[in-house]
Amino acid sequence: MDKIKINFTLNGAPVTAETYPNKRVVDLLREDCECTSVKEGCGEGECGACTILVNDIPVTSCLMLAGQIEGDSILTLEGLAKDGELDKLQAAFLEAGAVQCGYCTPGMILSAKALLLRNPHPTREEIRRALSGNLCRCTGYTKIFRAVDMAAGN
Amino acid sequence: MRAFNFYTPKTLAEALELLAQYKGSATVAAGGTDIVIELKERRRNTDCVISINKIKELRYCEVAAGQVRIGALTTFSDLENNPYIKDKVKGLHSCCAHVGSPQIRNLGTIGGNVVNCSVAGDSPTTLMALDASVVLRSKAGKREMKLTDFYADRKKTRIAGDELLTEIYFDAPAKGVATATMKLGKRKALVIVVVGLSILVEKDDSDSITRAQVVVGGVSPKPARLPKVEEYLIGKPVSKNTFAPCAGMLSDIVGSMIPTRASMPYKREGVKGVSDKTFGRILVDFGLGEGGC
Repeated sequence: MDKIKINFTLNGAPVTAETYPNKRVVDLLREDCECTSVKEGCGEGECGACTILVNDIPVTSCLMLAGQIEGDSILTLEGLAKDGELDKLQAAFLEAGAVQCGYCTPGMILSAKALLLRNPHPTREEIRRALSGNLCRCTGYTKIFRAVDMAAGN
Repeated sequence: MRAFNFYTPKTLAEALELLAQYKGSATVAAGGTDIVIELKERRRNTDCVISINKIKELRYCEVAAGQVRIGALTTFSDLENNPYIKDKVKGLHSCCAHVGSPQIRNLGTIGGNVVNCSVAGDSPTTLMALDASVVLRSKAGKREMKLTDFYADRKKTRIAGDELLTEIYFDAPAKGVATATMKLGKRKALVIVVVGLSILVEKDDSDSITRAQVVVGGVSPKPARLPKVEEYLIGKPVSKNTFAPCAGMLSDIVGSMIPTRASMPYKREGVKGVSDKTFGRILVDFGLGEGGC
């Protein structure tokens, strides 16, 4: 098996990765790019812990092969804070206490980020739908929804 | 995951060339949402993966000459957000909006879902109710067939190893046509189909049913058209009273389709509620009711 070269943008910076094609995007990001905020939960697209944004759209990175992101712009949680300032979603999650064990948090924040990018003031129902692909096994949903509300200025 | 060679063709022609070269031994990944799991769990082993997700020419949804044509790489999100599908093909819209989760709808493609033909898949049931056809292309040429013919058996389609499913098309619902789909799952998001029902009903100006296409999914190796229910509906008026007995008919049919399956008693009951709700949506689409029968 030959290695393949993948060019993509990671958190705003151009990256060229050389890796084996049987690697998934979640493994590429964690092992080759040090983006360990990308969590693997179920490994079959059910839990949303590995959610990343590809061209501002949330996807589960455990269901993608590394070569599929050629030319794409990837955002992980590492790319959210700017100049030492937390993103308003991160700040809101802290403020609302929307973190229990924390494992689902990066995926939750990125799904919420994608929502706010296309809809800055979502209703509670829109927030619930946008986060329906992210499971919190601590079941802390109420505070998570409240945090997204806060970040949206609702 | 076992080792494999990986290709990312940018055009349809390149993809067909690769498929011809590998003579059927290559695995095609569209969105990848099913294939990547199969590869990881080694349920599928292959020497070569052809990832077609960068072929832009296969991602479209257009309405022309009375037909809706959907490129194989159109994602469920694309269809969920398509104003025409939302307004005119409610059965397909509802189907697409309930696939997996937002993340999966952003990756998963309608072509991949059709070719993968999972028993518990979302779109085959709906597309069969729309009497859709598929377009298969290879380096040698193109063929088309009805979706009902495309499915051979459980997890088996009639696609050849060097072919790519490039398009799905069906008649654009004319005036007097209503469509509805419902999926019974264990919860709202991230579930496979326990029982799926998709219906197309056409009526004439006097509200009499002239055509009915009723398809049940999740209870047989491939979605099944139900001629018995369809024949019952033809010629009857569109009304709550006409649709109400369908729940019992569907329940009997589901019971007879999977007599030995442990989930049969649940599905047999569940399909009654699914029937009432789906026919209720048909009434709403015709402007004749508020849902439920």
